Amino acid sequence: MNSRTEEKIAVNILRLAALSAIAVLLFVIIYVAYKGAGSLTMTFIFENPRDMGREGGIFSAIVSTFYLAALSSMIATPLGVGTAIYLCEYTTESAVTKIVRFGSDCLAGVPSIIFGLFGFVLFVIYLKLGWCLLSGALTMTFMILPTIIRTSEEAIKSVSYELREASYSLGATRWQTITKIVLPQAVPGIITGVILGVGRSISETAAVIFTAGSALATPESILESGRTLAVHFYIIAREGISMERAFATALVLIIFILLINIITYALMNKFIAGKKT
Amino acid sequence: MTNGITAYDKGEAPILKISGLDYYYGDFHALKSVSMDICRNSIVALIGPSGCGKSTLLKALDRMSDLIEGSRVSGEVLFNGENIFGAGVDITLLRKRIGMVFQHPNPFALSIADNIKFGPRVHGEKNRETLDSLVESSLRAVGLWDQLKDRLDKKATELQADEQQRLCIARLVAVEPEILLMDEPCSTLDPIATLSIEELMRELKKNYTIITVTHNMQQAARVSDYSGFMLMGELVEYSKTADIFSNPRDKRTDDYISGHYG
Repeated sequence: MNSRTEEKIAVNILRLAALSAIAVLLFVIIYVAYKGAGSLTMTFIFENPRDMGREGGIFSAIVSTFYLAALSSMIATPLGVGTAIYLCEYTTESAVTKIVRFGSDCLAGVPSIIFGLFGFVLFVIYLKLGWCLLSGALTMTFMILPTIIRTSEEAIKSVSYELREASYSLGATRWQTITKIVLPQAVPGIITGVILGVGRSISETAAVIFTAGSALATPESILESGRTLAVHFYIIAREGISMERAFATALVLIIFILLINIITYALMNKFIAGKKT
Repeated sequence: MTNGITAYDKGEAPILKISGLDYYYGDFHALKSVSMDICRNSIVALIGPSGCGKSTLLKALDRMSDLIEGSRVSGEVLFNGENIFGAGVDITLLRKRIGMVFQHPNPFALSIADNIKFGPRVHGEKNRETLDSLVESSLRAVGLWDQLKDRLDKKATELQADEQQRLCIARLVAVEPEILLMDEPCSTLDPIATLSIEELMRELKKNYTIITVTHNMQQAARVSDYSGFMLMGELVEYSKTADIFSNPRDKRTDDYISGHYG
């Protein structure tokens, strides 16, 4: 085989690989949309489920999803960004930072069901919070923390050393330099990490069932149990309650996740464009 | 031993008195017992080949070198009579009084006005009128006021390179330092911009003491009152610029100036 045919074959295989990724995505979206669009109406979105989800809509699940995502990112963001700042700005590369970083990478690889079990034992049983959105959100916090730490660290590191130097040379303290110079520049990158975390927490099922439960009513406080969209989908599909409604729920979930990803991309592009100037 | 020449001749105490300054990066002995006096309102140029320790010396003077891991210092630098390495020294205050201009212009990605206000703000200035008047006086001091006064809220990073470098100097001027350390401030600028910065340095000399590091010997000759030639961490010769260029006492200085190495 000569090198030109080799080149052609290689290019086509790579092209196929790239196409397959987008094809799978399109297939999933089209399939879910095809199956779910029929049941997706305004009343479906704005009504609470009745009869275990056979009738009515998914409003309570949207509310629970929102609570869970907002709460977990509100707790995880300061923790994660704080850890990242500490690792990048206040420590020199040492055994300790390596252990912290290794630990957070390991945390990222722990299966979600383990987090669920851990959250169940710690928050639901030991701290007596019971099945509630707070237990779920705290559990999701641990799950998304590594993502936020890593992306924040990258964002903070990408702020040029020269700017820090300039700030120090004017007599600014470390903290002033971080809050006035480093963080403003790192914000788009940090937001990217937070949004990735949000995406993860709204699509989680196992860990959420273990900790936030699966009550159908609209939660009135974070100390009540709630059923997120992903959990709702899982339950009504698995128990064969209503496949059409399951797909409509999935469609709403996919639309949310797509929106989140589009926003993330837009932010990342803005972030990169900002770097050039 | 030509180290430690006292070059001040105005009969007043030097603003900086460096004596027996040693500096180590890990095992590397970067400054070897450097002693020199810097007199007020003068421009001192540090020359020498790459890696001779001139930037290290500069960075030690406002303790920017503290930020480098594994660095160690011994000896004494008296700034207005007070040792900058002393136990009770407030490092932020020291850096306010001894400011640094870097090789690459490094304005913050903020507006022109906010770049200038940054320094005063970190030192606690909140009054808007004071800050605004500092913006004007600092920009005037570096000759940028007339061209920038109508676009103070523009991003500083969009200015031209020499304007950026002037802005960085203005940013220092706003915290009212006594000494300006300049680490090859013109090395990324074109020849015309370089001349304009040199002119600015001579202008600033009236109010400040300037210590500059340069690779460019013509620049040292043009702009400085005193020059120090450094080689391998040692201050080989330090005297009036006119003397060092016309009549170097040390053979190594002579070799360097006549272009034998570096």
